[in-house]
Amino acid sequence: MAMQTKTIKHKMQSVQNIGKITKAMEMISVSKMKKSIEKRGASHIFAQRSFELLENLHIHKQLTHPYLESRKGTKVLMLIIASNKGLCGGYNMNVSKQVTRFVQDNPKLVVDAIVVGKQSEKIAKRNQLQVVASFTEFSDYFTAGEVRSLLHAITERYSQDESYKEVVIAYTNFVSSLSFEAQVTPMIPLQVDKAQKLLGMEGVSDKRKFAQYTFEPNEQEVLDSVVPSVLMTVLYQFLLESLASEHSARVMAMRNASDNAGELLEDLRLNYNRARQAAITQEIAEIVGGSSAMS
Amino acid sequence: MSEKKQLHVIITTPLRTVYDSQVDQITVTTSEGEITVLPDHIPLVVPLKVGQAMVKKEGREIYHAIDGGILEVRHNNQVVILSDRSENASDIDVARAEAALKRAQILIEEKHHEEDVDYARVERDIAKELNRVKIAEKGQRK
Repeated sequence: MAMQTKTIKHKMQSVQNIGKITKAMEMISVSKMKKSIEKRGASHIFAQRSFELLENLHIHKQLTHPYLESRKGTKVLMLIIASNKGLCGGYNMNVSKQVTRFVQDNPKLVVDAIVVGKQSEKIAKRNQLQVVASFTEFSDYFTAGEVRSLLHAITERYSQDESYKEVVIAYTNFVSSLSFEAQVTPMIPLQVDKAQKLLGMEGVSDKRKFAQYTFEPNEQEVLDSVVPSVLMTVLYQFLLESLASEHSARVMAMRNASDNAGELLEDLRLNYNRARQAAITQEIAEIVGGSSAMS
Repeated sequence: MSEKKQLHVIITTPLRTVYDSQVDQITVTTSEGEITVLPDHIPLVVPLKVGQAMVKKEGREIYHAIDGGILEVRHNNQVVILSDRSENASDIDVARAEAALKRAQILIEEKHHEEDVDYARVERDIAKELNRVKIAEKGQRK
């Protein structure tokens, strides 16, 4: 009997320790979540202005650029954004499900993957996609330079290989700190109104007549620098959406884990007390039995 | 004096909005050379080089370092600068900019015979840091 109380005590100790760890992880994720949400908000203005600029250019004249036109092809380049670390509930699994769904919905297309995060490598493998580039060193504080190298990897492949029909992104859209949804969305060819809608920026630009713009040195050169900058913005925003979702998912997962640890601890404590009581009762019974045998 | 027309200048980067205010004029380094934008300028879109954006407001000159980007002048006296990175002269950490500059220069010197250094990139970095130091000094002078 003494043995049983000891093992229960032991279990309680380990559950308590795990609870402490998950609690700490929850706290860390809360602060990271706050930061990433802040960041997401900070770049909103920039993104909005970039979209407006591109839209203004569109209104005044139908301009053409390789990244704005749709192409025919048999291949799709898919950018998968997931986390580097696990322990974030269904976050990665939801992205994976969307990827699977996309592959099943488009059986005729060959899907090549560019992955961001160690977990998305696994997602690509699970869906039997060929990984053409892997970015697993992105930290929580990725820089503009890192995003640019990612964009470069994407655009280079896309512009060199004519058989790519489009570039799509599998990412997690951040709705609020309690809800986020994984989705697959087109990136190139760039559709301004769609991208705006996805990032919750629609309805800002009014459709008034814009005066004719002057371009220096010329229209094509301006467009050549505007379009990549908008793509960059879109990509940056998508990465931030995913990051904010990841941390929120982790907060939720860790909170659940902490709650479960608490419940488990309560159950164990009850069991422990019962076992202790049983041991005492038995000991008394033995003493009483012993003394009555002596007298 | 009657109500003077002013420009609404916004300098924004992916990380934050650096500057947002009504000003009298703005001078920027474009790919075609330095231009000054005054109120009632025609709508204009032009790429920016690594350089400065100087705004004049109530007789004061305020400097910003710009790591390239795009300038958009809208018809309603709005000026938007979209830049990858920009700082107000007073926010620039001169010591850090100088350290970064030195690092890049050393990289160029040391690896002179090695092929794996991306010269174009390092040189661009040098230009950016030089620009930053220059503008920080300008900001301090006044």
